[in-house]
Amino acid sequence: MIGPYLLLLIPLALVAALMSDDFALTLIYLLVGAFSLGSWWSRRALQQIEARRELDSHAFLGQTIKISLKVRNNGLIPAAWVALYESRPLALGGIKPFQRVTGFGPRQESSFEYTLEARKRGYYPVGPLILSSGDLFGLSERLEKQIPPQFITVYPKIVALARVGIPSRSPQGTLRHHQPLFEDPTRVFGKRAYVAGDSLRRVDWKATAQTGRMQVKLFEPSISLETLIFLNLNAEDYNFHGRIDSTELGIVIAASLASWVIERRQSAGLRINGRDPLAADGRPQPLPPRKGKSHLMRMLEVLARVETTSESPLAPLIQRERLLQPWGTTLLVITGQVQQDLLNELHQARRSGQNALLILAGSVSHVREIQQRAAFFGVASVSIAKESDLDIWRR
Amino acid sequence: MKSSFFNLEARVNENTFRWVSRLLVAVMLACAAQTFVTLLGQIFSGWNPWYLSLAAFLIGLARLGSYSRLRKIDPLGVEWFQYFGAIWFIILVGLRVMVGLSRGWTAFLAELPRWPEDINAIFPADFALALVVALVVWFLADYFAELLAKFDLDFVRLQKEVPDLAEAALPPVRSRLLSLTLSIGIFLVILTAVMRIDLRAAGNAELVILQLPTLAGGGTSTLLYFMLGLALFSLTHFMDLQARWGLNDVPVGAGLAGRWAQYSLVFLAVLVLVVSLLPTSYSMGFLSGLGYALKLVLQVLFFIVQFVFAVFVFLVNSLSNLFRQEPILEEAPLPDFKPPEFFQAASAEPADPGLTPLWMESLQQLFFWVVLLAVVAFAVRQILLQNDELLAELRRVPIFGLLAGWWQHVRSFFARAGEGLREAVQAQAERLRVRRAAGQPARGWINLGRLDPRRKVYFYYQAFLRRSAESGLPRSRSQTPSEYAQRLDVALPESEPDIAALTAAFIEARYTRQQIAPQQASLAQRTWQRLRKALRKR
Repeated sequence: MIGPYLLLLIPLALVAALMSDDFALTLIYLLVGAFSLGSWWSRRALQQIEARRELDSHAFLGQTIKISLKVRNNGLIPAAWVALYESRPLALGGIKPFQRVTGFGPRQESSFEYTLEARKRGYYPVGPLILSSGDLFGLSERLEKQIPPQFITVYPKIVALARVGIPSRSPQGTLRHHQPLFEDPTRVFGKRAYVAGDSLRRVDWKATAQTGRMQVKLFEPSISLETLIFLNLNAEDYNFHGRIDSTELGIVIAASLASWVIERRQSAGLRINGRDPLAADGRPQPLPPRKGKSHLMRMLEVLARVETTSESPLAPLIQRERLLQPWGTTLLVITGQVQQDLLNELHQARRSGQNALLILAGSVSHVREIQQRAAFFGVASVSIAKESDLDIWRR
Repeated sequence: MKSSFFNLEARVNENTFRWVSRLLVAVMLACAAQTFVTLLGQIFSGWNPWYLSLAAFLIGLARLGSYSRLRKIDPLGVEWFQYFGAIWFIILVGLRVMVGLSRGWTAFLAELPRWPEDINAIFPADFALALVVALVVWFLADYFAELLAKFDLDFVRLQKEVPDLAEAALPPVRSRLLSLTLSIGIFLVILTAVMRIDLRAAGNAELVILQLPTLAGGGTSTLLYFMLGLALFSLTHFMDLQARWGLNDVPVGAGLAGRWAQYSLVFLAVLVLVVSLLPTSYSMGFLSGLGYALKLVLQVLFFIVQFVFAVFVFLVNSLSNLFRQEPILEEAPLPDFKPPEFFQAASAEPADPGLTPLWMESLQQLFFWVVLLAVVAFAVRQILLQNDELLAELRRVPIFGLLAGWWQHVRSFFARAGEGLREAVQAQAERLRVRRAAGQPARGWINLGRLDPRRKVYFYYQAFLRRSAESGLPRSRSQTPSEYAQRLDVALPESEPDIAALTAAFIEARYTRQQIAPQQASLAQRTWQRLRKALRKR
């Protein structure tokens, strides 16, 4: 639009020069001023406008996420119009971007709100928020300013599990166990009279003094369940048809198992061979077995973000990791397909005193055959073809 | 077709736009006609066809108002002819009445009886001129109406849903409107410039520039035309944006149109104020210099043409002589190049050179230059800020690259200096704040009466240290008060009890939390006074 304007200035300058005329100079001032002051005004006004976005960066599946945009003109120069444009994640129900046009008086603040539905686990950018404005005459170019995006992590679905038959050989834990081999001296469940052969360490001296007869403590047998969950997100290890559903089911299984283990005050760790968009090298952060809710949240965050990848087989990862884990650790392997090298690794793990449970997630070809092979190698296996199959652990 | 593209407010804005834009264009056309009228008044001195401006306004309004109605009728059909004919009949009659009334009411009444007798009485010469003006205004208004109709929301919607390829191939409507407005503007500027030439002197092949005030000689109407043009740009820009927002289903804040109009008016008012304050009257030196350069170029071009013509005549006549004939062309003398003189500005009231002192003149010139250069620099900066690509291209040119580098250097220097100054001020302010927060008095005079007993003890001890140092017994930085006291005991054995007492009082005040009674402060004062006397004797 500035082209015709500049063209007009040429005859004006010629007239001003040839005729030494004030009129032409006044007109030049008028036209140049309309463009320059207009541009300056819009630029300045936009500079003074500050916007911030308030949102909960984490949400559970099914939650409604409220996004609040606060836009304020910090200066005294009003902004005639400001267009706000913010792109919203499609998966969270943001079919259309958030758009609004408004004007801002001096020091005026406006708030805008919209909501998103946490429909699918993932790591979603909200924004960037683009503020655009321009002059009143439309002579100068439209100006833009960007407020960087913020991210929302939607945790994966957690299925509440009641009884999961995960084998463990670790003694001195907090889980009750039917084998009397691993008695926990911190879990006294009764007393009895001393019999020959009882260890003096088991004598309850206070009870002995009270009753006048030798009493020994009875301990509850318990195990410690140290679990490391391996989630296979190598795309080639899942059937092409239903790959997305199968990997998503794998993530749900991993999240549910992690939650179940942590709720029982046991240690759980997580290793994934997928892609984490937030990690610098793209590889998800390894999370060794730890206890506590905060550790569970860390695992859920990683599970929320991970995506499938290719040419990243799981067996080498298990080989590296199992050597670092102590005796008695249970390896839960969630995968869509089982190759021989994977079974070999799990067999080696068993031989070195670790437990392994193979969980086949989604639509897996030749399930029975795989389970038979796994059984041959002494590896327990379970097939979870769909989410409702998790009911076997819910009863 | 989706009917809810535009909300009620958009429709109200559209209606308002229709009326306001038509009114603006009609007034703009009237302004343009007024500039023309002023020129006619200068050419035919004494003739003032004032009615032309009024006629232009009314004709413009009529055309703008009838545009949509005429578009709905079949062109060149019976109805079209009836409607079109009726409008033009009214225009012609109205024009004729205006022409008649321009000579006065009685003269108009006197000429009415002659109309049936003499056809020339009905169509005088000035009526023919008015008719030409009316036709020009009609066609201009027609083009304006066509462009303004394209801001209609229904047209925009239709264009989006069923694009008209011919329309899409043209530049955007706003660009065309801008070009039309500015083209008329350029014509008006030329007319206004012509009015600043003494036409009688021009008849004698002499160029004399009349130095008229800015608003005289068509200046007012031309300036008003541009002002209204800016208002029209603002209106059309809003409509353009509103249509886009509507099509994209973007919610628009309530009252945006009102605010837009308000800001536009304020902006134009500020612009007029700024323009009226900027200096233009002290520009003669600068503009005369530029004008001289332009005239020099024109003279050179004219000289070249004359020289070529003389050579041509010489060659033709020489050929003719060869065949012993009379010379065909009259001998053209070789041109004589004279450097041009500065334009002589004819002023109605010649300025008395004694009235304005030389220093004032110089100051005015300086002021003009500074303001003009500032305006130019500001405008250039705004243009460059608008065009990042142009800026990037310019940076590649070595000279601009050097200038940009130099400018960055200067900017960073001042930024560093400013930053340093700010840090120094902040540091000083922080120091003062900490001192005040700690209850310490600021540097300067200390009001002993306002100090608490503890600080009084500090003060006497500090005074004692200062006086001791002046007497050649300074305390080294590593010495504790007790160590220093031991050293002073050697130098002032007779004051040993006083030194010990003052030191003990200071240690108690400075290093314990015990309450210091006013009596202790008084005791410290008396001790200090005795020590001062002892130090003086030394």
